[in-house]
Order: sequence, then C-alpha cells, then structure tokens
Amino acid sequence: MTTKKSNESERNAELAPFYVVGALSPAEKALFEAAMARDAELAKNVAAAREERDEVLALNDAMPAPSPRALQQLLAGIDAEPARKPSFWSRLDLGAGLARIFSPRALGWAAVAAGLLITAQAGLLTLQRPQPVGQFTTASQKQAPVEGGSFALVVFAPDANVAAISKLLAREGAKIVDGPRAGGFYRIRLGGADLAPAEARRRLDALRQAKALVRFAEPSR
Amino acid sequence: MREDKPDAQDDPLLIERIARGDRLAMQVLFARHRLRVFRFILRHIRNEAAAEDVLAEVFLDVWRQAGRFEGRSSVSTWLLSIARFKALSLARSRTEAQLDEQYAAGLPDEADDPEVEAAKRDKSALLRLCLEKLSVEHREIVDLVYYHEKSVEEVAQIVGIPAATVKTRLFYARQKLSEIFKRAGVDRGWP
Repeated sequence: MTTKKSNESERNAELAPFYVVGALSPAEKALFEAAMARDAELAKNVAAAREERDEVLALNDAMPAPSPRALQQLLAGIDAEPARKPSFWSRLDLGAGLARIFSPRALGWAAVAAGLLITAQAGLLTLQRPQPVGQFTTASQKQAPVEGGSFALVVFAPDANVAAISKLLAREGAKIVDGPRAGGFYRIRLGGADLAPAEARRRLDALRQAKALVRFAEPSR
Repeated sequence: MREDKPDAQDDPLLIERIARGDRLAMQVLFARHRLRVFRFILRHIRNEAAAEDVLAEVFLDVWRQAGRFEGRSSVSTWLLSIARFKALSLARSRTEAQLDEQYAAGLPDEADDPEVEAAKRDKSALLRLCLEKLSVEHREIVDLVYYHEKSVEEVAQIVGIPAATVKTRLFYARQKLSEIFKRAGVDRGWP
C-alpha cells in the first residue's frame, strides 16, 4: 500500500510541469488535481513549476528574433527547387473544395452569389442592356451563349469581398461565365477568341497574384 | 494565451497547400512558427547567423516533404524535430572555437559567484541564472515543456527518447535547479 502510494506520489511529482502548461489529458488532469488537493508537497511542487515556467518564458522572450534574411534565404531555396508538377486530381483539390462548400464562410458566399443572381436578373428584366466587362454573372442566369475565347477555372477566397472581385475581373477584362461548380469553382472568360495567348497568360497570372481574393486559378477549355 | 503562441488549428491545411506548391501558405507557416523554431535552434548552436541558416533549411525541408506529412504529430512538433536534427548535426560539426565568442561570453559560468550573490536578492533573477546553468540536455527539455508547451509524448518524439525518460529527465533537471539554489543558500520551497 505504501509502495503504491509512493509510486503514485513520484508519478505526480514528475507530471507537475506538464500540468502547469496544460499538457495533460483531461483524465490525467483530473487525477492530478485530486492528488494535489490531498498532497501539500505536490502543491508546492506545482508552485515551483509555475515559477520555473515564468522564468523560462522570460528567458526565451529575451532571445533575439530571426532577421528577414532567413525568409529571403528560404524563398531563394524554394526558387532553386525543381518546379512542382501536381497531378490533375490534386490540382482540383476536391476534398478541400467540398470542405469549403459546406463551411460557414462558403455558405455566406453562396448567399452572396444568390443575391447577386437575383440582382442581376432584376437588372436584366428592367434595364435590358449589355453588361459591362467584368460584371458577375451566374450559371443559372439567362444569358447569351458563351462565345469562344480563353477561359480559366478559379476558386475565390472564402472571405473575399465581392466588390473587390468585381474590380479585379473588370481590371483584367474577365468575367464569370459559369459557377459555382462543385468545389467552389467558377469558370472565367479571360477574353475573346482574338485574345493573344500571351495576354491570356498575363491575365491568368494577374488573377493568381491577387492572392487575397483568388485561391486557385488554372487554364480551362 | 501568449502572443506568440502559434494558432496551430489550420497548420495541417497549410501543409496540404504547401504540398501543392503554394508559396503563400509557406510564408504563413514560416511567419507563424519562425520565432519559436529559431529560438530552439539558437539554444543549440548559439550563433544567430548560423541559426538563421538552419531555420531556412528547416522550412525548406518542410517545402520538400510536405506531401509526406501524415499528421501523426502536430506540425509544430514536426518542425521542432527537424530543427533539432539539423541543429545537432551542425553543432557536432563545429568546434568549440567556432562558437560565437560574444554569445559564449554572455553565458554564465559555474564560478560566477558575484553574479549569484547579486541574484540572491531577487529569487526570479536567481532562478533565471540557475536555468542558464543547466546542461544542454536538461535545458532543452525544460524549454520544450515550459516554452513550447509540449506533452510528454511530443517531447519524446522531438528528442527521440522514451516517454518515461522524458519525465525523469525533466524531474532531474528540476532537482538540479534546487541543488543550485541550495548551494546559493536560498530555499526555493520545493522539494
């Protein structure tokens, strides 16, 4: 009995620092706290561990931070790496896409898209005038058949601002012609059949560069 | 919650994006963990420029191996494991003479009695001094638990020792602190 108690006491004494930093499981924590309530020595141990933690934090916080050189070195190293060739399926990122579809933010996006659709349809019914380049359209909107040209599949950031996206698309002469599809993909028309391939690539790159708004952008047929 | 405590909930998502070649995700992960990983490395190699080189190498390894990360540990535990391996490899390849002299000169010596005498008037200062006197092995485990807030199992994974050894090593490190206190004639109240 005494040995058992002694073993338990030693085990708890070793766990005090882990208790202090919250690194015990809920079951371990409950047992530890029960032991602490009846063992004054263990309570002293915990008090000592708290002092140790405070001073360890102070010592670490007094240490220097890395200079920007470390990040520059990392990015230079990444640039020197062979280019990645992701598979078709990994580029589609269906798993993450599905997660995004059902995330609260994405649902918010869907609501915004639905609102835009209603607004756009109302606008069409009342104004019946051509849409400026870059304006949002949706798949379910009645519209003229999509002409030829250069296209891209795009996924927008869940917290992207609609006005900012509209501005970006207008700036690049692009417009949404389809979507959202499964995975949150939108089909974007980068330009007409007369758009030079180099300019299509530049517009696609411009979309990719807008990282706060665009999560994914790849050429599409 | 401490200000520099990484918000690790979406770390695995960042790793997925890094595996697909997303540089922005890499920069987010770097910004989130650079400070803690850097300080962990600096403890081992005691030279800021060399520690920055190792830090960049750690994250370059993450860039290369992100696709193989299986999520069996937290991302921060994985980072510290890589950092430890690289830091120790570098430390082994360097001689004592290559230690940064300024940093080494700042380390307290066992015989710095005047410093201990001065610290006796301030228990916190004495404790900080005693912590700096711990061996590298003891100090490493103390930092992993108190600063990096790692569990027994996580420390075992980072250091590559059994979980039971983690507990006893930390316990001995704490006893060592008490011994240094006693030698300085100060009662810290435990054990």
